[in-house]
Parts: sequence; structure tokens; C-alpha cells
Amino acid sequence: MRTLWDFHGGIHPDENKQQSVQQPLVQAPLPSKVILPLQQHIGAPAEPLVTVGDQVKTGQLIAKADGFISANIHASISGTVTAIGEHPIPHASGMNDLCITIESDGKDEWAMLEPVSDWQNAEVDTLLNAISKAGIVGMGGAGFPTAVKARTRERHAIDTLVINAAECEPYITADDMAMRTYPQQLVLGAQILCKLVDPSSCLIGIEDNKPEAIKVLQEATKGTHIDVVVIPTKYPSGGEKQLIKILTGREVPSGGLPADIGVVCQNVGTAIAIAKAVTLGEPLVSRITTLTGNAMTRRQNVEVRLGTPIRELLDYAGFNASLASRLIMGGPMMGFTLTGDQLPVVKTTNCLLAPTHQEFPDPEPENPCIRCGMCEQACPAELLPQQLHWFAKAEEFEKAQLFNLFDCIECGACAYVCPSSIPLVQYYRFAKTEIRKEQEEAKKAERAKIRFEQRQARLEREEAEKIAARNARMAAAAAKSPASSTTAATPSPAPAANGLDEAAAKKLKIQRAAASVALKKAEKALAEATDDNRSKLEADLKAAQDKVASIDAQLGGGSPASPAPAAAQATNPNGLDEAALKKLKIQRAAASVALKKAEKALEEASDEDKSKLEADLKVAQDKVADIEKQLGIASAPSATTAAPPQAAPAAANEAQEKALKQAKIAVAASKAAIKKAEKALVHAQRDNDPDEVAAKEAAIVTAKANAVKAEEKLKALEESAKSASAASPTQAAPAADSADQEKALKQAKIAAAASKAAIKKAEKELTAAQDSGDAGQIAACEAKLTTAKEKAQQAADNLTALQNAASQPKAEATAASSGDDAVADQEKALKQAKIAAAASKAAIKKAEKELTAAQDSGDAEQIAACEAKLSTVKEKAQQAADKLAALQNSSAEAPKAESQPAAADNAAEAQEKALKQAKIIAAATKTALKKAEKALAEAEASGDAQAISDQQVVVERCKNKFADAEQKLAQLTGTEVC
Amino acid sequence: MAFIRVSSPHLHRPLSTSKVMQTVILATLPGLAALTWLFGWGSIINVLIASVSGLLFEALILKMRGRNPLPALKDNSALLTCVLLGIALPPLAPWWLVVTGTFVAIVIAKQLYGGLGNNPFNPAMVAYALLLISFPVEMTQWVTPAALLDSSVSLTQSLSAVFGGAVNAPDAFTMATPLDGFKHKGALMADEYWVQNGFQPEKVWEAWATASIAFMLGGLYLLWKRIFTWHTPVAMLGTLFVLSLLFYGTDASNYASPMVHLLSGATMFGAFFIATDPVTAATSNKGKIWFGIGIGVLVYVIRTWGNYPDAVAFSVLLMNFAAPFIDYYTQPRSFGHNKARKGIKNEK
Ligand code: SF4
Ligand code: SF4
Repeated sequence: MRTLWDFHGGIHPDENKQQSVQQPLVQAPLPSKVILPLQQHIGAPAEPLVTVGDQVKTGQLIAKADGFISANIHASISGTVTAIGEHPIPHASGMNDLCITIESDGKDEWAMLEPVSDWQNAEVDTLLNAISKAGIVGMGGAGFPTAVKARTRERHAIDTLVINAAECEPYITADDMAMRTYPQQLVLGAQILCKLVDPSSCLIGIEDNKPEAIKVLQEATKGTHIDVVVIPTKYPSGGEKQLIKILTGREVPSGGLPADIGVVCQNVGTAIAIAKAVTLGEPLVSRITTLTGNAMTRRQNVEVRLGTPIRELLDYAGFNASLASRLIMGGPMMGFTLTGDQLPVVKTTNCLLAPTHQEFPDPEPENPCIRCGMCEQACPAELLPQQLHWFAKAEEFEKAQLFNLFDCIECGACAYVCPSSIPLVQYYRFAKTEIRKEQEEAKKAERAKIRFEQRQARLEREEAEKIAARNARMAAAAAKSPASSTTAATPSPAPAANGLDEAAAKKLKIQRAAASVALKKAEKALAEATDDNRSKLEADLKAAQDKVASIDAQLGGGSPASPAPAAAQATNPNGLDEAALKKLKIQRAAASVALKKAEKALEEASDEDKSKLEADLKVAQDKVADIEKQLGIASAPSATTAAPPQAAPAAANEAQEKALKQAKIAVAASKAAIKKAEKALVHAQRDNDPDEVAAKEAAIVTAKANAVKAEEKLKALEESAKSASAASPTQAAPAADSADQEKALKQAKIAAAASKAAIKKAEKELTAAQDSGDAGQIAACEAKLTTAKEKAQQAADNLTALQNAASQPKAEATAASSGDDAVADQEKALKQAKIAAAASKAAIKKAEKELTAAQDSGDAEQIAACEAKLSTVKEKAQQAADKLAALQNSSAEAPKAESQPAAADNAAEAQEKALKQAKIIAAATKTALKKAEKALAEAEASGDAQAISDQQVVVERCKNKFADAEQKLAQLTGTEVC
Repeated sequence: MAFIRVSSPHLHRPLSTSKVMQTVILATLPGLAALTWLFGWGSIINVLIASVSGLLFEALILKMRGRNPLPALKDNSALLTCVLLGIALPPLAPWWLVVTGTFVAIVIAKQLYGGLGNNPFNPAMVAYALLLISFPVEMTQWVTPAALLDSSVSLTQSLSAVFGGAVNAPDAFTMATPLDGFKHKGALMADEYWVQNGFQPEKVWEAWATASIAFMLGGLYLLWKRIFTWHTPVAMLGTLFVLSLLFYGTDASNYASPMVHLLSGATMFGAFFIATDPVTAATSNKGKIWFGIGIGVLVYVIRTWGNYPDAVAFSVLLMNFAAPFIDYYTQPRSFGHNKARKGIKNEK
């Protein structure tokens, strides 16, 4: 005697099985037509292979399994396909589904059947094929494709095969009669299953209320290793989990499969169908169904063709509709009521029950729960049904889940015993449906959110790019005009441009760091999280990622290099600096890490959440691609200024630096010139040659004036650069602005102080000259003073302007206004340049005048000296002007391409590089798209709605990416053509 | 042709709430009969007054709540509450005491909390406790066992006592309950106390023990009928037994014996008819055990060191308080789970 275990709870309703076992099992009359739903199983519906009008034979494949978990459908009679379309199907919710209708020709001609010869020596795959070809599904209730279940050995070690012959539901005797009628086939089926699953023991679990079947089976299993295990009658011992517990003492873990504990369980009907499929090649075209209930006169088991309209069966059974209280498909405990009789018999129809009102009176009105705990005593899943009922009623679904609602097998034991007649199972179904709906909706919302945020980020980026491009155009236009003035150089205050960039970059960095921390936190939480709250955490993670992405986008958008590199990169010299580039690299590294992590997670993940993780992975990959693209764009322009091949320093920044360097050299040179001139002046003074002195002084003054102007120009340039760069990071502007303004203010103050000192010095010199009585010297000194005063005035103006700007509310420093500021700055620079040009012209005129005076005096030597001086001055002025022009050109970039072939070459090279990159990106995104589309097709094939929608999102994203890449490529190609 | 749609299961055990209540009421009959036999008509009169007034109250309050009173009256829950209260009150208690009690039980403790199934406290015990606090004298006057009287109290005597308007039942018929007496025995030894009071201890014990055993029989019938499970009564009685044995063993002259605790006062009645009220008890089997243990401990503690001679009402009410808490921490291990979940938080 085997050890048997018991499961908690269970009930003993009246069996009512005798009515239907009085008559032997017979064939039901051939139906006049059959209606075959394409989905009679769990998984994807089958795909029709026939069209309306086709002649089919019994056993012919008319719809083939579509995907891994699906099952073939065969014609169950010979005849003509008359319809393929929606038809009501037997389902608890009374829904419609696609069905193939075949009108019988009454001949029942069979198609050629292909049995597996010598199955004992056949390959496992051959047997599995035969089973899946026959369209066999679990016939106990759920209808899980049998071949898939038999394949579990590939993934699990199975030690026990259980044939479920318990048939615990009252009234149903289909398995009982099947065992009595086909014991050999059952044993054969079990043996075939043993070959497939290779268990160490095979048990037939049968309730002790079927003595005939037990006897017959014991006979049939003699000499085999199959054990017939008789178990006590108790509902629901036929539940898969309960039967396994009874026979093995093992519990299928919550949410798990029998295979997880080394057990495979198959139903009696299924085993018989397997035997038929393998030894006869007969597909699943009929099944044994119990017709019972006192509203029928002929209560018995019949072998009925699948798809038979129940109307015909009921007619056969002598069904009296006026007596029936309801019509049930399945047993009284778990069956569902049918609303009409046009529904077909399907693969899982084990019973048609038509009870009278005496048998099944209408349900009692529901009374309040008295917490009697009887439901709990009866629940085989060891749940607290009354608590679940409370939670379901109050729609506290979270708590219901906490109380293991999803472990409820809907056996109905609780509702059976409930003295208050509470339809408990109905409450649980409602709660489960609601929870599933909620989860579906949450997933949908999550996907929508991701889409929305991605779109938002893209729009922001585009907007920022537009603004930056506009600013750049304005700056270019403004910088072009002052290009023709005399330039000299004097020392300038420390350039502020770098500081400025740093401030902006710092801000972005801080933002990014914060976002990264949030991201990391979310990732960590996710790693530690359980399945339950994983989805929520994933939403958090997504949000964090999006935040990082949006900052990245800002960073990308803030660097004007990204939109149209050729046009905009150098017009905004500060636009893209080293810091930004570095950041991009860091981002790429971070994204790569995230990508790797996602890949690893994917590897470790179970099949179930694989699709979700794959979507995540795709996102990460996209992000990396995105950043790399940005990085590519950022590095590309660095070549335009003939910079070293390393992509590190941004082109514009380098141009700026170069210009500054040049200006500094010019300043140093002019300083040297001034010194030289002063020396010459001292010499002349020593020589006591008034004319010589005057000429020298004039030269000095001119040089100094020019130097001052050059310095101003330089400053203006710096300011314009500053304001432009301040304008570009549209979002990060306020803080950076204020920092810039402070710095500029300081500079302006220094400039003001310096010019004041210059004025004082000039005044001193003037006094000295007046004392000496030298008219020329006086004039020279007066000119100097005037220049100094002008400069001071300018510095003061500058200071005021800056102070005004600083006192403005920071909030006003929006993209638009900072763009305006840039224009204003450019205008100021222009004004200053004009003034400088005028001053230098005046100096030249003065020198010319002196020359004329010398010519008038007839002093040849003096004339020569003055001419030399004049030419020097002119030369210098020209030099400075050239330098200034060069500076302006370098900042304007556009004219540079024409004037500097080398630079143009470099630009072309950069363009090429960018193009190449763009092409690579386009190709990569195309590949990704293709892959995604393929995955989608696969998902569609599998019929998993979840996977399909996931893949659709991915495809959509890939498409966007691809379009972006192509657009970029087109843009680049366009510029190249230009 | 169309049929009705009904959710499964389609079968239902022929046991309704009203049947359950009816069975419990039936099961009180042996106890009630014993009380009547031993202490006269008082208890039956109590039960009748309580039932009539209680059903009236129930119908009235349901009307006021805008509900149809018929189904609720038919579920027998109010009747059961009234029967239990009637048994718990001292025989020959004045009628207004009983009516006040049913009012409190039905209107306040049951319906104002939302009716059947929603009341956190056992209605009969709420009423009993309230009466005990408000009318301590009436509530502690128990009828002298008939066996100790020359002639038992007649029906007319009983009725006149109940409806006579007298503040106290005639002194001749009443005495303190054994537990009450024991409480006030002072420095006397247990047996000395009874002898000194002029009664034969055996007779007193006999009366109380008989009534207790009668109630226990009713309870066993319910157990057999699977109206409730053994967990609560066994846990409560077991705890009481162990505790009293422990103290009795250390000092037999000062502490009442386990027999006194189990077979006098409301112990058996409480264990089988009060603590098993499903609405207000813990639900899971494990929870019921803790619930029963809690009652047992409280009963012993209050009887021995508290101010009240008996303590079933207070103990049950206190444990009613704790029932939801117990439920949260005694959830069964569900099928396929490694261990039971504790508390209300998700531990995963
Ligand atoms: S059986 Fe019904 S009345 Fe009893 S506790 Fe369960 S749900 Fe409540
Ligand atoms: S239907 Fe669910 S809750 Fe009710 S007894 Fe069955 S498993 Fe338990």
C-alpha cells in the first residue's frame, strides 16, 4: 500500500455519478455540421488552412498551430467548409471567436492517417511530432497543448508521471467510462508518455468511487510499471496540484508548474488520445462527453465529434428545456453556464449538465458573511476565503493579492460550504480580472509614458537646437560688419571665456550627477526588488533614465554644434568646449555600463520578463547610440580649425583660443612698438629736435590709441562670445548668466579703473608738455588724453550696462532675451570697433598733417622721418586691422572657408568624418530596426499580446531613430554638396 | 433558447446561516433545561423576555435603517444573541434589566456597527458587561440552587419577582454565586467558607457543575455538527485548566481548584457559546487557538486577582479587540508557499 498524503480542506458533495454510468459508452450520431473554434486550447489560435467551399475529409488538418504554444485543428467530419468567421464559443464570458464551420456530407470519409510504426523504438521527436500533429491538448479542462507539456523534460528533471483519473467533480463520468472502455489505450498512452518524459514512476491516481474502472485498470496495468493508486474521494482531489500532493506529498510552488517539482500530470482522455494518435495516426477529432442531469432522459457518456453543436447532442439526449434550471458545460463545481444551444463541443468539453430546478435550485440571496470560517476549512489552497471576499468586495485588490488571491484555483469549495450563500468564486474572478486589467493598464500607461517622455525630450532638443542655430546666425551677421577697422593690441584682462564655459558646464554636470544618483538608486532598488514591486521600480528607473536623457539632450541641444555643424559650429566659439565633450564621453561610459547591466539582467532573467528586459536593453542601446552620435557630432568640428586629430578640444573653442592668442601677440607686439617709439622719443627729446619729438610722440599716440582700440575690440569679441555662449544652454542659462555677469562686471570695473589711471597719466603728461611749452607735445598729449577719456567713458558705459544686466531678474534671462543680449553685445562691439577705426584714422590724418607741416618747413630729414613714421603707423594700423579681421573671420567661420584653403580642407575632412559616422549610425539603426521588426513578427507569431505590444514599441522607437539618423545623414550630405 | 447565467459552483451545501444559528440555539437547550431544573424558571423567563424584546428591537432598528427586517429576522442571529444574553443574566433578574440588555446588544452592539457580520464585539457580552458595570447588585444576585431551598421557586413567584418591580429579587431566593463567594472568603480556607455559610459545598458544586456539563454537552453537539471547530473552546479551557492547576498546586488553600474554574460560573457556557461566536472571533485555526488562550488567561487573571468574580464577558470582549490583530499574524500557510505570511505588510 502506497503512502498517501492529504490536502487541506476539500468537500464531499453528492456524487451523482450513477445516473450516467448505467449505459455503456456509445458513439453520438454524426452531426449535420461542426463548428470548430480556432482556439480550443491555451495559447495562440490556430491558423486556418482552408477556405470557404473547400472539401475536407475527417481528420484533415484545417488549421495549423500558430506558434510554440498552440494546437492543430482537424476536420471532425467530411464535408464542405461553409464559413470561417465569428461564432459564439463555449466560454464563461459567452464570447464569440473565429470558427470554421463544416457542413457534413454524411459520408464521414477519413483522410489518410499516418500512424507511427513501432513506437517503442521510435525517436522521441517522432512521437512528440505525432502528438502535436494530432492537435492533442489537455482534455481535463484547461486545454494546454500536450506536446508542449510532454517536452518539459528538456527543461526539468521529471521523476513522476501522474495520470489524473480522479475525476472528482460530481456528475461527470467521462473519464470513468473511458477507462472502463479503453483501458488498454490508456495504458498505452501512459507508456508513450513515459517514453517521452522518462519518469522513474508512473501513477494513475483514481478516486475510490470508481471500483469498476479501478478493477479494469489493475488488470490492464499488470506486467507494466504503471501503478494504479486508489485515493479517497474528496473534492477537489482531481485538481492537478491536489492530486500531486496526494500522490507524492509534494506541493507545486505558488506560481510554479508541476514540472518544477519533477512531476508531469496528464488527464485520462489525453493519454487515450495520445495512444490513438501514435498507434493509429488519428488526430483529435472526437472526445468523450458526459450527458447528464435530470432534464435529460438519456443520461450517458457519448463519444462525440468535436464541433458538434450542442443542440444536436441535447436532442439526442432527450433534453427537456422546460425542466432545466440551467445548462452547464463542465461539472457542477467548476463548469460554466451556457446561454444558448448553438455552441459547439470543444476539446475540453467533458460534460453537458442539464439539471432540473429540484437538483440545482436558483441561488439563494447572498447574506452577510458571519466569518464562520467554514470556507477556510474547505479551501484546498489553504487561503482565507472570507478575507479575500472582504478585500474583493471592498476592491482592496492589493490586499487580496497579499492574501494570495492568485493561488485560488476557483474550485468553488468555499462557496459550496458558505452558509451565507455568498458567491465567493464570483468575487475572486472579479478581483482577478480587475487586477489583471489594472496591471495591463499600468503597463500600457508605462509604455505611453516612455513614449511621451522620449518625444518630449526630442522636442526639447530640437527646440534648443533651433534657438542655438538662430543665435549663431545672428552672431555671425553681427560679427561680419566691424571687420574693416585698424587694429592694434594692448594687454587685455584675463579672458573670461573659459570661466564662463566652466560655469555652464558645472551646472549641467551637477544636474547630471543628481540624475545619475537617482538613476543608480533606482537601479539598485530594482536589483533588490522582488517581482511584486518590480514594475513600479522599473517605472522609477525609467523616469530617472529619462531625466538623465533629457539633461543629455539639453547638453546636446545647448551645444550648437549638433544641429547643422557646418553652419553653426564656429559662429559660437564657446558653444562646445572640452567640458561638454568630456561629459558626453562620461555619459557614453555610463550608458554603456547600463547597457551591459541590462544585457546581464537579460541573461539571468526568466523567459517571462525577458521581453520586457529586451525592451529595456533596446532603450539602453539606443541611448548609447544617441550619445555616440552626439559625441561624433561634437568631435567632428574639431577638425575644421586644423586642430590636431584628437577630437578632444572643441573646434570653436580652439578657434577662440587661437584668436585670443593672436590678439595677445598683437598686444605684446604693439606694446613693444610703443616702447620702441617711446625710446625713439626719448632720443629725439635728448637730441632736442622738436619736430622729431612731435613726430615720435604722434607715432606713440597713434600706436597707443590703436593698441587701446585693439584691446577694446578684443574685449568686445570676448564679450560677444560670452553672451553667445551664455545664450546657448537655454535651460541652464540663469545661473550661468549671473556668474558670467559677475565676472564681466569685475572685468569692466578693472577696465574702468585702468582707463581712469590712463587718464590721470595722460593728464600728467599733458601738464608736463604744457610746462615744456612744446606745442606738438601738448597736442599729442591732448589727443592721448582724449583717447583715454573715450576709453574711460566706454569702460564706464560698459560697466553700467553690465550692472543693469546684473540687476535684471534672473528669470528674464530666457533663451530669447539672452539671444537679444548677444545681439546687443555684438552691436556694442561694432560701435566700439567703429570708434576705434575713427580714432586710428584720426591718428593717421594727424601724422599726415605733421608730414605736410614738415614738408612745408622744407626740412628733408624731418620729412623723411615723418614719412617713415607715417608708414610705420599705417603699417601697424593695417596689421592690427588685418589681425582684427582675422579674429572676426575666425569667429565668423563662414568667410574662412573662402579665405583659408587649409581650413576649408580641414572642414571637408571633418565633414567626411561626420558623414561617415552618420552613415554608420544610420546603418546601425537600420539593423536595429530590422531586428526589432523580426522580433515583432516573432512576437505576433507567438500570439503573446504583451510581447507584441512591447515589440511594437521597440520597432517604433527604432523607426524614429532610423529616421533621425537618415535625416542627419541627408543634412550632412547636403552640406557637403554645398 | 436561453438559460440563466450563474457563476460556478452550481452546487451548494444545504446549510444556511439561519440553520447554523438555529442549531446553536438548539444546542443551548440542555444548558437552559439544567438551569431551569437547578435554579427555577428564571432563566427561561429571561430568555423569553430577551427574545421578544430583542426581535422587536431588531425589526425596529432595521426599519429605521431602511432595510427589510424580514431576512435579517429569519437568519436567527438576533434570536441567538437574545437567547445567549438571557442565559447569561441571573435568573429572576428584573425584566427591565433584560430589556436594557437586549437593547444594548441588538441596537448598539450589533446594528449600529452595521448589522450581522460587521460587529467587532460579541453583542451579548457587550450587553452583559454594560449591565454588570451599571447594575452590579442586580447582576450579582444569583438564585439559590433549588436543592438548597425547602421548596423551589414557583413560576408565579418567579414572575412576580421579575415583573414585580422590586429592585432586588427576594432575598430568600438569592445568594452569591460560588465564585463571588469565593472571592470574598477572606482568610478562610476554601472549604471552611462554604461550611461557614451554612451550605453543603457538595450541593452547590453539584448544581453548578451540572449546568456546566449541560452546556458542554450542547457545545460538543455543535462540534460534532461542525458548526465550529474545537480550537477556541479547547484552547480556552485548556489554558484555564493549566493555570488554575499551577496555582492550586502551589497553594491549594488559597486558590480555587481547576474544577471550580472549569465547572462553575460561565466557563463552559462561555467556551462553547460565547467565545465561538464566529463574527467576533479570530478566523484561522491557529488564530482561534491564540484567541482561546487569551480568553483563558484573562478569565483566570480577572477571577483570581481582579474585582469581578467572573470574567468571561470581559475576557471575550478584550480578545474581540485583539482578533483582527491575531488574524493578521496567524494566516495559514497557503498551498504551495514555503511559509505563512505574517502581518499586513508584504514581506517579500
Ligand atoms: S463560509 Fe461564508 S459566511 Fe462563513 S466565513 Fe466564509 S464567506 Fe463568511
Ligand atoms: S475557490 Fe479558491 S478560495 Fe475557494 S476554496 Fe477553492 S481555492 Fe479556496
